[in-house]
Amino acid sequence: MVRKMLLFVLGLVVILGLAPATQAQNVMKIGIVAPLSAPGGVETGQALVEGAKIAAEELNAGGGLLGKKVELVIGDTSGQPEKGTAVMERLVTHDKVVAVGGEAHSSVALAEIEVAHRYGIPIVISEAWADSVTAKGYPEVFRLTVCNSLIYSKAARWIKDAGFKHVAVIGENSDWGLGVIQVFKDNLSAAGIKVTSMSAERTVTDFTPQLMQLKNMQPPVDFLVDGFTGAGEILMIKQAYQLGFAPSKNTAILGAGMDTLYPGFWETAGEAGVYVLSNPAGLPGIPKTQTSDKFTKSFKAKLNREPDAVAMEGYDTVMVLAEAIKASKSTEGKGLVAALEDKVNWEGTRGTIKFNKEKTPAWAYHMWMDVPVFIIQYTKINQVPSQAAILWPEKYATVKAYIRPPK
Amino acid sequence: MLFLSQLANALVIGTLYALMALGLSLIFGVLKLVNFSHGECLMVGGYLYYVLATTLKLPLSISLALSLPVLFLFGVFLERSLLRAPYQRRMARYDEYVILVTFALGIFLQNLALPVFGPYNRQAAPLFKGSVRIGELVIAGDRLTGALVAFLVIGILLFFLYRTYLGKGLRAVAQSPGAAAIVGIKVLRMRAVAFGIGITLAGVAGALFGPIFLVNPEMGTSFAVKAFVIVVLGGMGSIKGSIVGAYILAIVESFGSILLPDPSRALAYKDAYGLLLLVLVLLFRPQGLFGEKERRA
Amino acid sequence: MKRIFPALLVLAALLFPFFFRDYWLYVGIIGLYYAILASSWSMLAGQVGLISFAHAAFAGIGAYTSALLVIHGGLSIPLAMAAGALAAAVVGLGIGALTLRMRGPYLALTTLAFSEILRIFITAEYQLTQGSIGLKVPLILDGNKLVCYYTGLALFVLTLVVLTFLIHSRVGLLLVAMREDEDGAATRGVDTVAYRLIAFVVTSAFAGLAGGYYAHVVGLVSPQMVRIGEMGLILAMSVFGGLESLLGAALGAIFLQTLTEYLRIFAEWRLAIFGALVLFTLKFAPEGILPRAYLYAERFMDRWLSRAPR
Repeated sequence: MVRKMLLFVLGLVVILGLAPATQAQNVMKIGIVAPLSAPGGVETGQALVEGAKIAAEELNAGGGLLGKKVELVIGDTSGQPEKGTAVMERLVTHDKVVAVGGEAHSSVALAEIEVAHRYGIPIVISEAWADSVTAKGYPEVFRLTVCNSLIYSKAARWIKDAGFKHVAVIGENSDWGLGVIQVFKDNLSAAGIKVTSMSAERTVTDFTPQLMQLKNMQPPVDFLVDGFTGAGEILMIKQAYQLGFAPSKNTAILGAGMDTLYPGFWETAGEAGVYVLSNPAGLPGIPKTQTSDKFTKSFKAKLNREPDAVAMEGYDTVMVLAEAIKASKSTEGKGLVAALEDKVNWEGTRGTIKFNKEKTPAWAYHMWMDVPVFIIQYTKINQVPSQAAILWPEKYATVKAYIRPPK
Repeated sequence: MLFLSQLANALVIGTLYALMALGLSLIFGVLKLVNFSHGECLMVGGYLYYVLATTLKLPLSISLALSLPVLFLFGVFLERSLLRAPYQRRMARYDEYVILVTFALGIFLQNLALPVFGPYNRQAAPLFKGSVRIGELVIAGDRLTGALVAFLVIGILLFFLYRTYLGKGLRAVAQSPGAAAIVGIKVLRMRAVAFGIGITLAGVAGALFGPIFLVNPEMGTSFAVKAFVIVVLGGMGSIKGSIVGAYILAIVESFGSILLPDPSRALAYKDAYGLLLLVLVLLFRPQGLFGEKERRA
Repeated sequence: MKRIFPALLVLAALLFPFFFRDYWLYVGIIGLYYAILASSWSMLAGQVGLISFAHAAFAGIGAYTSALLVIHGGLSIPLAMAAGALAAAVVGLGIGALTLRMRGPYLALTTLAFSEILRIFITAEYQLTQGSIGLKVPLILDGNKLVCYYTGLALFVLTLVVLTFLIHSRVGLLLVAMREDEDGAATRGVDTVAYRLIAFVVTSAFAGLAGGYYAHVVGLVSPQMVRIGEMGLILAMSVFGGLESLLGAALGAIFLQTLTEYLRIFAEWRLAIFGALVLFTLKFAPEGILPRAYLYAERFMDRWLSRAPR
């Protein structure tokens, strides 16, 4: 027994010793963190990584960065904060990446920025929306997507202007879902609009009892916000539709999560998806930029579908980091942070990206303030988001007002 | 009116719960083991129906009918490969073995579905679309279909168990394997049949739940926990208990989540009500509503 | 030789940080967490014959209790970790008292349900626990990896010593006797429920201790910690290393943890592979795959040694 065990331990040590710890000199490593396995939002993670890969290919085709080949080191966080910490540790200490980008779950992003802050490595967040990610005020953290306060305060204002009187919000009890509830409450209650809210575990699948309850409320609920992601988001729309509650001629429904924007939405929601509202943080070709055209073309060639907001964010993330590396001519953390803060002014797929330095309100620090936000409404079954009716902002609107379903 | 709609919904969901719990109960009755992979077998049924109906584009009713024998064979295969030999050679610590092996099977199936089907939510069409309206009462077509088919399957099962020779053999083995063997019932075969039927019931429940709640690799976990609660509540191995327990759980979930004064918590704890029920049963009536009191040495 | 081996093992463990730094040291730190969980769980499943699916949940209780006491109670980290272990023990006592009266799979059923309720509770009570966002926890000495590693090693050795002592004590003897023949033990006047309860509470306490350690070396706890999948991982590790031996289970944990790092390329298939390996192990090598592997390796070595010239 003794010898057997010894053998095992020695074997283990040898295995460990073979760990690839060598560092290639002519490679520029950039870490990408994304949820690529359950329970994370895998669809989102994959879109993000696809976008990032296209960016890296483009950079390498143009000769790389500072004469080195760009290599993306992709870390799967599974949507779990602890894994996020572990993956960041690995990327920074083992793979020795110069900077990190990505992430689509706020809870994981919040764990990752701690590690980035500890090691002084810049991290550009692609798709995590909780205010606190940038509100922490860490200089290493940048964000080129919206945050809850930015997007839902706009959505709330639109709801008020469109004349809705009683808004119900059902949100998942994650940081993001609770944030959605909070922002709607804060922005609408002040304007005298009644807000009814409830939150639930992300894995809840049957909302029928609650929807029946809302349907029977006085004054009648005329706007329902679906603050779920994944299966829950689609199931709530489907169940609300089956009960004749929303979308209907009396009640509108806004799918706040990303799942209303993926191709899988129509496969599962079917006719329930027509007249549903959604709020993408970017639509391909709106506004039209050179990068947007180029990226849409490469993405379509590679994946045979229209890029979504997240893929565009993934692409922009790598490109913005590349811009910072070019501008600072080094890969040292402090220099990169300074370059991201001062020198990046780059026309990406969704407009010209530039990071804000003001700290009031707290969430605005290192945000891209001009990130485009839309409110769209599907008018036909199997419609892609960029073909849907745009209700807001006015600059890009294709219809005058909310389209009331006939039934 | 609200009360009636809620009750109707609870009864529909309860019928589907009964279907999956009966499978668990039958397996426990005959094989004297809890199938900890029951939720994952339910998921397998969900995917099977989805593949038959959507990928192979078979007519819906044929997909559903075809999934029955496939699931049965799958169950028999599992019993043969994992459970039979240890039972036959009276393996030391068989009880612990079956818990470990069925739990590990669940983990395996769930994580196999993940790379094979991807983490996406799939949906096959239900037999009937649209919804049924009786005055103010609205019941969605997929739910109604599910409940009706489940009702039918439960009926056939009960007929089979109480009115056919094979069914009586199963119940005989459940009561006393030794005595059953003496009167010439092939106990090993009965165990395989019981496991096959149990898995079929779970799988059909999955195929019916699929159109309602979407199919994904993780769908099994919450259903499995519900099935466990139901069989403990009704009494382990009791057919009547599983059916009654299923309706009780469905009603508690439906009304619990709207009657609690704090609406936020009421919905959040929806999946936990059954577990509270479980604790209460274990405290006050550990043998369950229809279970027999355990004899101890 | 019998004395030399443990000494070598301890030496190897003590010297580990001098050969492996940064990320691999981090892997070692996490590996020790799983080693404590796997060895205490295998004690319960292997020696006592009780299958609990709440081991990860007890670790979660220990982690959150310890974290909240440090954050809100201002307790020092070691004291809070002890309190976390105590909390896990108390909850274990409650569950055990509820289910151990009955034979059969009640413990397994109830603990599985309990894990789910705990996950739902932690997610729903976000004012207290920060919900799914995870609770940020102060680190041991600002996360100095060397200190973290040696803390884990000390706790691991403590677990092994206490559990080994328990197995070799009168309690352990009775537990094994009950496992083999419960009625026989009961007729000889052994209070079987009480002894089982002792074993369940003690192992739960060690799970709680491991949880507290995990919280303060990772710096973050979230409801993901008590997922059923985590429990599957602990089970896989224990089955791999062999349920009959505490050290074996611990080595199984470290082995799987290392393997995980190498299976990263097959990320999606990783857990399916583990699941298949566990089924395979249970069916063909119920004593554990590592012991079986040693056996073959030993035979090979013997043949090789006998052939080599002296």
